[in-house]
Amino acid sequence: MELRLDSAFVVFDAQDSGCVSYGVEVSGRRWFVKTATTASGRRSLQRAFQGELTGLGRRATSSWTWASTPAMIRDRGAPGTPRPECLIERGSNFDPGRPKLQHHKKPHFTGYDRVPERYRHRHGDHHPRPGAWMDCGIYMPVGRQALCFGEEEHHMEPRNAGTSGDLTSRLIENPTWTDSMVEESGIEVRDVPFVTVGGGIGSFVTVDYLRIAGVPTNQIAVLSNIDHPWQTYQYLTRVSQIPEPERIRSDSSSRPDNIWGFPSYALSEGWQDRSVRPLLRVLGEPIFSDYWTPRAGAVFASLERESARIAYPEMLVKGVVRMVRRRVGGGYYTILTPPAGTTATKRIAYRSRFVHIAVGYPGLRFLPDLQAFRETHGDFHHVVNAYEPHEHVYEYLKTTPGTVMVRGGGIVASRVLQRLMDDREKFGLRTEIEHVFRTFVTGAHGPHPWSRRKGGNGFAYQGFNYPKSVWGGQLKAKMRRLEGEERAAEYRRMGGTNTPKRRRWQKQLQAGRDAGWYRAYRGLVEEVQPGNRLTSVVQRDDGVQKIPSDFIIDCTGLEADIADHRLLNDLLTNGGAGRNPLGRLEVERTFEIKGTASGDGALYASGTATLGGYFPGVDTFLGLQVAAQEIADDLARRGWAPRLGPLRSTAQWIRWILNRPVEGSAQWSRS
Amino acid sequence: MVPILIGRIQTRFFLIALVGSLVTLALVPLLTLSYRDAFVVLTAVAVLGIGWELLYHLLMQFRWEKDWPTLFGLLTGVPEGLLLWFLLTAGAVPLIGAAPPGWAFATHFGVVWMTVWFAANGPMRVPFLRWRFRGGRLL
Ligand SMILES: Cc1cc2nc3c(=O)[nH]c(=O)nc-3n(C[C@H](O)[C@H](O)[C@H](O)COP(=O)(O)OP(=O)(O)OC[C@H]3O[C@@H](n4cnc5c(N)ncnc54)[C@H](O)[C@@H]3O)c2cc1C
Repeated sequence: MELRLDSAFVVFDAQDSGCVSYGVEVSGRRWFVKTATTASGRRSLQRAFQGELTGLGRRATSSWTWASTPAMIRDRGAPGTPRPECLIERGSNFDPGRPKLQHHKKPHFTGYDRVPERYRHRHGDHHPRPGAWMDCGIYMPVGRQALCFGEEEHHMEPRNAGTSGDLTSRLIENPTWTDSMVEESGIEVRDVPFVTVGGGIGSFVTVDYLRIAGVPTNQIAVLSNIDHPWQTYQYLTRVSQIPEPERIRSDSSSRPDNIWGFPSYALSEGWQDRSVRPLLRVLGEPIFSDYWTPRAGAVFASLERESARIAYPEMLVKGVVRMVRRRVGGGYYTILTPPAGTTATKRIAYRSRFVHIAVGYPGLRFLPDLQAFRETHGDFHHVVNAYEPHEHVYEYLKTTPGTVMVRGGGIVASRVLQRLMDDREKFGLRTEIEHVFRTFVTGAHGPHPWSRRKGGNGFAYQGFNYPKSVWGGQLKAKMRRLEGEERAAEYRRMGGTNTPKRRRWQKQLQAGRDAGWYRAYRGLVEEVQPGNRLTSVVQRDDGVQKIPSDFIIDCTGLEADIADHRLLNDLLTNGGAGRNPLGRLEVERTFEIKGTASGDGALYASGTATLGGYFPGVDTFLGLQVAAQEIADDLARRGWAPRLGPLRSTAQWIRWILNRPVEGSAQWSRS
Repeated sequence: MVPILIGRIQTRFFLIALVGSLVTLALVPLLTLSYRDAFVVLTAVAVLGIGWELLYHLLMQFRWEKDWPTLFGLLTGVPEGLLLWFLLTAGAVPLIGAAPPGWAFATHFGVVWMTVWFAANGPMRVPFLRWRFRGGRLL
C-alpha cells in the first residue's frame, strides 16, 4: 500500500510543529499521515511517541507498532466514533509513503523520499538532513472527521482555503510590528481589547474574574487548542492515577469555579450528599484528619457549570498561538493559527491592548539516565513517565508477578504507589516495589524550630506543594518583598519535593515494609541496562547495587525549560521578557511580564511559567486565582476593567449561588 | 486560615464591631444583661484580643505552614472566655459594675465567638475578595 503525498487530497504543510500531514485515499479508505520535516517536528513526534503513545501492550523493540490512539490524538468526529488505531513508525528506514502495515512481516525498504521543495518548512529551525523525511511518522485510518493531533487540528476535508495570509519574513524578523506590516502580509486582523492565551485553568479563572467584575464577552478572546478549560488538567490527573472519583491535592476552598472560595467544596459536597462528614473533616484538618480535598470529578463538574454561567464558549477561539509581538503605538499582536481550512487566511492576528498568557507546562523532562535508556534502546514500554499513559504496567502486573521501580518522592510517586498497592490488595497480586529516592528524608528537617517540615521514611510531608501561607499569609507577604538571590534562597528553603501525609498511604506502605515487598532507599541511578528484565545500577549508601525490575516509573515530574515552549521562547528572544532567579519568566507583583510593556498595553502571565517570582504558589488553582485578582486589579488601575468592590462582589456572589448568568456592569454600558 | 499579625487584629476588630454588635443587639433582650455591660464585654474581647493575637502569632511560628487551623480559631474561645470571666469577677474590667450572671456571660460570649468564627471562615470572603489573600488585612 502506498500513501503518497502526491496523491493527497488534503495537505497541511508548514505546520507550527514542523511536520507535514496529509490525507490520502487508497482503495476507498482514507488515511491520515503525519511526519516530520524539521528537527523540531521530529522532536514533537518523538515526544508524542514517548509521552503519549506508549500504551503499546508489548515490547516496542521493533521500529513500528500499532497503538490505540491516546488523548493527544483526539478524534473530533461524531460523538461515539470509536477511537482509531494508528500506526507509528520510527527508525532510519522510515518511509512516509509506504507504511509497513502488515504486522508480522519484516518491513522492506525502498529508501528515502525527498521532501518536495514546496513542502519544506519555510521557517522554524534548521533541517539537519536537507530534503529528507525525518525518521518517524504516524498513520491513521480516518473518516470524514477532523483530527486533533497535539496542538494542531486537521479537518479531513479537501479544501484549499487558508493558504494565504501567512507570516512574512519581515514580521518574523521584527520584534515590534506596525499596522502596515501586518496589513501587507494579508493576515486577517481582529480587534479585541483583552486576549488570553492557553485556555486552561489559568485563562479560565482570569476570565471568570473579569466577567464577574463586569467585562462583557465581546471584550475578551480566549485563544486555545482545547475545548474545555479543564481538559488538559483532566488528562494529566487521569494518567497520573487520579481518576474522577479520587481526591485531588488542593484543599476545600481552592475553587477554580468560584472566585470567593465560598461555599467551599466541602460545603457543597456535604450539601449534595446531605452529610456533615466533609465539614467535620475540614474542621479537624490538619490536626485530627488529613486535609480534606475534593474529588477530581467534582472539580470538572463545577467548572462546567461556571463555564456556561459566564458564557465562556462565546469567547473561545480555537487554534494554536504562534507568537505575541508588540505593536508600534501600543498593545500587541497575537498570531493564532486556526485549525487548517477553517478560516480564509492561514493565520489570524489579534490586535489587543492586553494579553494574558497561561500556557501551562512547557513540556516534560525525563530523568537523564532514563531518557538515555529510552533513546538508546528504543524501549518506551518498560521505562515510563508517570505523566504519560502507562496503564499497561498495571495490566501486566495483573497477569504476571513483577517488580516495579518507582523513582521520585513527590505526590505523583505517592499516587503511583497507591495504585500499585491498591491493585495488590484488590487482585491479590505479588507486586514488589523498589523505591529510589534521590534525597531520603528521615524525619523533621529544617534549620531551626520555626522552620521545620515533617518527614520520614524518605518523604518530606507537606499538605500542598508549598507551605499553606504562601497563598495568603505570612510567607506570601514575606516573598513579596524579596529580590534576586534572597528570593531564590527562600524558594530553596521551602521548596523541594514533598507529598501530603495521608493516613491510607502510610498504612499501606508500612504493611509493605513489614512484609518486605516495599523497599525504599536513597540512591543515585548511574545507568539502566536492558535484558530479560531491566537492571538499574544504583549507587547506594551501602555501595553500588544492581537492582532488577520489570518496569521503571519516573515520578519526578520534571518540567522542561520555558524556552522549549515556542511562544515563551519568542517572548524571551523578541518580546523583551527575561528570566527570574529560578529561570522562568520574570513577572511583576501584578503578574505583568517585566520588560514587555507596549504603550498603554500590558502583557501578563500566570501559571507554572512564572514560578520563581514574588508569589510562589503560582501553579495551583488558588495561585492562578491570586494572579487573576492581581491582573484584574491592575487592569482596573489602568482604567480598563471595573474594579470589583464589596457591593458588586456580594451581588455577583448571590448570582453565583442561584446559577444566574453574569451581567455586564453599568460602567461598560455607559462607555 | 493563613493570617498575618496585623491581619489577625484588623479582622478581630472588624468582625467584633460588625457581627459581634449585631449578635449582641439581638441577644441582649433574651438575657439578663444590660446593653452597656454587653458592649463593654465585647470591647474587652477586642482589646484583650490584641494580646491574645500576639500570642497566637508567636505559636503559629512553630508551624511549618504558618497557618492557623480552623479548629484553633474555634477552640481559642475557651481560654479567652475564661480569662475574661476571671477579669470580670475580679473587677478588673473598667466601666462595668458587677460581673454579669455566669450563664448570661457564657451565652453571650459563646454565641458571639461562634458567629465571628463562622463569618471569618467563609462569608467574610464574599464582600472582601482580597481579604484572604492579604493575611486578613482589610486596610
Ligand atoms: C497531575 C497534576 C495534578 C494537579 N493537581 C492539582 C491540584 O490538586 N490542585 C491545584 O490547585 N493544582 C493542581 N495542579 C496544578 C495546576 O493547578 C494545574 O496543572 C492547572 O491545570 C494549571 O493551569 P494552567 O492554566 O497553568 O495550565 P493548563 O490547564 O494546562 O492550560 C494551559 C493550556 O494552554 C494550551 N496551550 C499551550 N500552548 C498553547 C499555544 N501556543 N496556543 C494555544 N494553546 C496553548 C495547552 O494545551 C493547555 O491546554 C496539578 C497539576 C498536575 C500536573
